Amino acid sequence: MGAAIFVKASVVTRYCDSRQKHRQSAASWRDSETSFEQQKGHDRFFEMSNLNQSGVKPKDHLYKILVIGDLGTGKTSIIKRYVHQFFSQHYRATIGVDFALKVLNWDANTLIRLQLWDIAGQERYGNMTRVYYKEAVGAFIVFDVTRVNTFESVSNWKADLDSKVQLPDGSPIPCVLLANKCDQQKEGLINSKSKMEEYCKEKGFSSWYETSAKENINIDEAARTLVSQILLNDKLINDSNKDGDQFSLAHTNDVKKKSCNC
Amino acid sequence: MEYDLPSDFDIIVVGTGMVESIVSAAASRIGKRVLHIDSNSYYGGLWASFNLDSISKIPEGNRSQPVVENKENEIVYPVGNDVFDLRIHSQKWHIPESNPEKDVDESDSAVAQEEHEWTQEKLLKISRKFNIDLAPKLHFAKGDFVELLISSNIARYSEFRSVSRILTWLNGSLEIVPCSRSDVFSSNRVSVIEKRMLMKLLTSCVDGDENEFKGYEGKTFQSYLKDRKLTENLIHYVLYAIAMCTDDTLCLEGVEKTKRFLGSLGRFGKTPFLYSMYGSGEITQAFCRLSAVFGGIYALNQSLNGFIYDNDNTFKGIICGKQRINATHLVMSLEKLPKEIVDFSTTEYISRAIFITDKSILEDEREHLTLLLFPPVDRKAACVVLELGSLTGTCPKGLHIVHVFTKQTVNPEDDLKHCVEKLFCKREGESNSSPSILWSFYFSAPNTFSQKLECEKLLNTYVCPGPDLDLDYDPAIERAKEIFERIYSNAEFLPRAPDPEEIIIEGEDNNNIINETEERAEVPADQGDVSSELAHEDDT
Ligand SMILES: Nc1nc2c(ncn2[C@@H]2O[C@H](COP(=O)(O)OP(=O)(O)OP(=O)(O)O)[C@@H](O)[C@H]2O)c(=O)[nH]1
Ligand SMILES: [Mg+2]
Repeated sequence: MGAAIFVKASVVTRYCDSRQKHRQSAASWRDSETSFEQQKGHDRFFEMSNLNQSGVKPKDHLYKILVIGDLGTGKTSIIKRYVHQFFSQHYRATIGVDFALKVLNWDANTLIRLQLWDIAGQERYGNMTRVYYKEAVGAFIVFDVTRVNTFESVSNWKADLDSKVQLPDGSPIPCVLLANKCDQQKEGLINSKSKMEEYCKEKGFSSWYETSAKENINIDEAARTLVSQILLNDKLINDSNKDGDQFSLAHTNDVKKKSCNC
Repeated sequence: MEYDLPSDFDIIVVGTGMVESIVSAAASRIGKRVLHIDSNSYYGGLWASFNLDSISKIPEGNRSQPVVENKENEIVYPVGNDVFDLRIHSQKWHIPESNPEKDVDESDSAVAQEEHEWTQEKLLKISRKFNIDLAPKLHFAKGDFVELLISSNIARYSEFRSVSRILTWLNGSLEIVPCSRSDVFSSNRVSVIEKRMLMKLLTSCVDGDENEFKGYEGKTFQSYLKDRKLTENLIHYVLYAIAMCTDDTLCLEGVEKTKRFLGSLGRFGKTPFLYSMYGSGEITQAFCRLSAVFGGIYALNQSLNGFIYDNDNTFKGIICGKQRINATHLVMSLEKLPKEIVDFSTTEYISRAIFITDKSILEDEREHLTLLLFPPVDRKAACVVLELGSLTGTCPKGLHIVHVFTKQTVNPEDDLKHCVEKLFCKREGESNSSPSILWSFYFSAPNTFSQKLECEKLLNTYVCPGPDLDLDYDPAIERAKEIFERIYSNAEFLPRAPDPEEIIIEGEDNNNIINETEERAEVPADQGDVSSELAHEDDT
């Protein structure tokens, strides 16, 4: 008995090769005017980055949040607890998943979808690609209250984060510090609330929480705090200048798939 | 950070250039245990993008320390050679270091609005707004690269901007190349008769009726265009801009190139080309991210001390610092090849120049992403010029990054001089309508695509070339696929990766604590035997 991850059967459709590409090209050139116009009205082709879809439906937000911190501090546990409501002593690497999606009914007319990006266990040596940081609007930095050295790394993680991602106006993205495994014996600065407050202020954290993925302590609260910080920047995030010349190629495939039966 | 890497893999990839990254992603994708390392502290190798501060510090090459230990029955080769390094010719500022009269504590937007007041200090302060490609690439909207991104679902990691105009240099000035039907018809540079001729020609190239090109097998594309009675101007547009040919290109090759161009029109934007937002260096990272998400282990800044082979020259593993790491296959970039193995004597080079300029080569009301195909003149080869504005995420507002490159004959400065002189202000400080160069960087990059991909001497070892002159990544994809298929002959090459939304995670409802959770995305292809190298060995 345990958790299982599987893929909806429908996506297992194999990609068919591009042989027909050349056959199509002649026609598409001649029709280029018309097909260009048609596509324009067709969201699928002109879908901007999905992070900016909120422009279409004003009350539906999609935010990318990073979860970073030293090895074994509980990043994956926190995400699993928050999104899938379970905890385990032994996780194995989750293969093939970029992020976990959490849907929040923020208030009566605001739906918020959070993409929580874990450090792929594989990138644990601290070498995340820019793809990981790109367009993130908030972050959690996690340390383990039982291991002081994981707290010492926090300021490095914060500096690294601020150097790799900024809001469109150049300011740092909101970041909440999580002192995880608070169900255990605590070591170091974490034992003094006032010193922690001071530390967070100095390092530019929006806030901090003692959390436990095991006992489900403060995780929802921390997320709510981060989201309300992100909402303050909402206008800034959506104002980023995107015009009709910018494209995401994702989902372009869907059309193609329909037209071939191999 | 002090850490040990796991010590047993199916495949070790050394270098994070384009070809290596595609192979790495493809191998992880089918469940192979991949270690992907780079001695650089950044992704991309010769295909990387840099900010303004870091590009001034790029190393020309890196060599490993001589090997420490040599066991019985094995040979340890040192890492790297100096045959395939970048050769930096010059990197220069053409503006003052700072402007003492002005207050330097201005915000970004104020800096951007201010004209002619750029200083080195100001640009370096916003260094991170620059993403300067060592190997800028464009993508044909229906080319192999775009199709691969879509079919593998790596497309979700990147965003693109379409090239908004294509220019050529004709009769002493810059001209917009009419490439789509609407361009042809709205152009006032092309007469009505020319319009008909051009449309007819393009249509016959695309339709590819065999009889149309009969008798042209050994002849040039130019002679075909002349026989079709095209005017000089039209021949110029088709030959140098649309087909990107030289005077000697054979007819059938010219027709193929014309088709490649026309076939990509009308999918995204007004031209056939896309450019990766935030620079071409993003692309190798998109493949690395996929590899990581499918279990590939990454370590940058990794000191690599040697390649271990047994006596019959079969690959056994690598030495990283004190650690020995074993694997069955080794894939590496050409510049990492052991010196004594390199038996290539001649190497072709690409002459490259990168400029930061203060305005566009052809000003307009809106910002453009411009491709200029500068035709061959006298005995100088054609040059490709790519001008990027702030909307591509590669430079601050108000500035442009201009890449100019061509096949090397002499050296970068001499090979590109004729083109550069026509586009930019000649003397520093001189102000006419042409843009001024604020910063310039000339270098030579090896063009290694003609090299063999398997070194005969070393078994289970595959070599990846660096960037080539193709506008797109087609040759890189082909190489990567070739390497992948040699190693894993029956496996599917980059099948579609599921979207996170398509993966359903089922937890236990009643009992919230689950021990021994084994989870795995059951994705298509032979993902079944992914071993869980990544389980925590370290915390108990
Ligand atoms: N007691 C206790 N243990 C926890 C808590 N959160 C996580 N753990 C345990 O800490 C270990 C590491 O947790 P992970 O969630 O895998 O940590 P991680 O940060 O994702 O680790 P990496 O991906 O390897 O960097 C596991 O054994 C968890 O069960 C907590 O709140 N309390
Ligand atoms: Mg984890």
